[in-house]
Amino acid sequence: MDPIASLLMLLMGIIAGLFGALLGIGGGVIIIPCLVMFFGFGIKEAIAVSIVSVVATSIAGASRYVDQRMTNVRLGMFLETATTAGAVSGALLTIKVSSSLLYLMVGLLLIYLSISQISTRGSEEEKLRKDLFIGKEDELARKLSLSNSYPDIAEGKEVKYTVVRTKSGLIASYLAGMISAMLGVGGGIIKVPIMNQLMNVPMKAAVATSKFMIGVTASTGALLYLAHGLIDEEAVAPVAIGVMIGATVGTSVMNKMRTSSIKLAFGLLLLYFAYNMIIRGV
Amino acid sequence: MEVERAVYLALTVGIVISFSLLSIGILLDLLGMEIYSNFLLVGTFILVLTPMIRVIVAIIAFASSREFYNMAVASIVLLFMILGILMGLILRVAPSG
Repeated sequence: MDPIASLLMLLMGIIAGLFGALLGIGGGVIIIPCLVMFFGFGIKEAIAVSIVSVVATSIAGASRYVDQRMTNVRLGMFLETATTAGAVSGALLTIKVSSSLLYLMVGLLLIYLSISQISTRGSEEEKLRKDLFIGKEDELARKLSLSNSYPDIAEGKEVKYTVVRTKSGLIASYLAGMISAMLGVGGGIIKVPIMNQLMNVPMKAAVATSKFMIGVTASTGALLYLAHGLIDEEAVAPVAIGVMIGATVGTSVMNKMRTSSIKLAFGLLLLYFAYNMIIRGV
Repeated sequence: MEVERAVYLALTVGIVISFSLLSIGILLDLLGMEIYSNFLLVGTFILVLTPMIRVIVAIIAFASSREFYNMAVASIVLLFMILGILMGLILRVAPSG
C-alpha cells in the first residue's frame, strides 16, 4: 500500500481513538466517513475496516480504564448479556423491517438524550461533590455486586456510586444492542446515557464501562466480516494501530477533565447523530 | 485472581501481540517483503478474538472467586457471541454494528 496513504490512515486512527476514549464511543462515526470521503472506500469496505478498528480502540481503551479502576467490569458484563442478545435479534430484523421509521424514532430519542446530557452537566458535578451518587441499590444490583467506585482525578477523590433500576437498564440495553445492529453504529452513544441517566452511574465511570463493553459486540461483527473475506487487512493495520495509540492517550486525559465538559461534548455528539438519523429517515 | 486484574491482563496481552504483529506487517510491506500479509492477517485475527478471550478469562476468574451469579452472566455473554457468529455464518449475513 502507498506509504503516504498508510500514514494518513494512521493519523485518522489516532484522532478517532482519542475522541473514542474521551466519550466512550467506538469512533466508527469518524472512521467510516473519512474512509469514504478521503480514501475512496465503498461504504461496505469502510464499515468492515471500521468495525475492526472499533475492536482495537475498545480493547486499548478498556485495558487502560480497567487498570485505572474506572471501569465497572461487573456492570459491563451484566449489560452485555442484553446488548449481545439485542444485536443478534437486530441482525435478524434488518432483513425484514423497513428502517425509515426506525431512523426517525432513534433520531428523536437521541435529541432527548442530548438535551438531558447537556442540561444535567452542572447538577452532576454537584452530585459528585456532595456524594449524592449513593442511594438504595435494588436486589439484582446487590446480588451481582454492581455498585462500585472510581478515583476522580478532576474532583480529587474516590467517588462511590450505587447502581439502581437494574432491570430497566437491562431492557434498555437490549434495545440499544438491537438498534446498533440495525443501524450499523457501535452503540456507545446509547450505552453511556443508559448507565448515566437511568442507572445512576457517574459520567466518567459510564464512559469507561461503555468503552469496555463495545469490544464484545464489535468483535462478533468483525469475526463475521473476516469469515466472509470482507476485511482489507492492508487498510486495517494502519487504522487499527492509530486508534490504539489515540485511545491510549485519550484514556490518560479523560479522568483529568471536568465531568461537565465531557457531558457537553457528548451531548453535542448526540445531536449530530440525531441529525444524521433524521436525515436518513425523511 | 481478582476479575479486574484477569480482564486487564487478557486485554493487554491481546493488544500487545496484535499491535506488534500489525506494526511488523506494515514495516515488511514498506520493505517490499511478500510475507507481510501473513503478519497482518494473524494480527487482525488476534485483535478481533481478544474480546472473546476476555469474556472467557472473566468466566474463569469469577469461578475461582466463587462469584457464581457473575460467572453465569459472563457465560451468557459468551453464548450470545457464539450464537451471533454461528447465525452470521449460516445466514451469510454480514452485520454492520
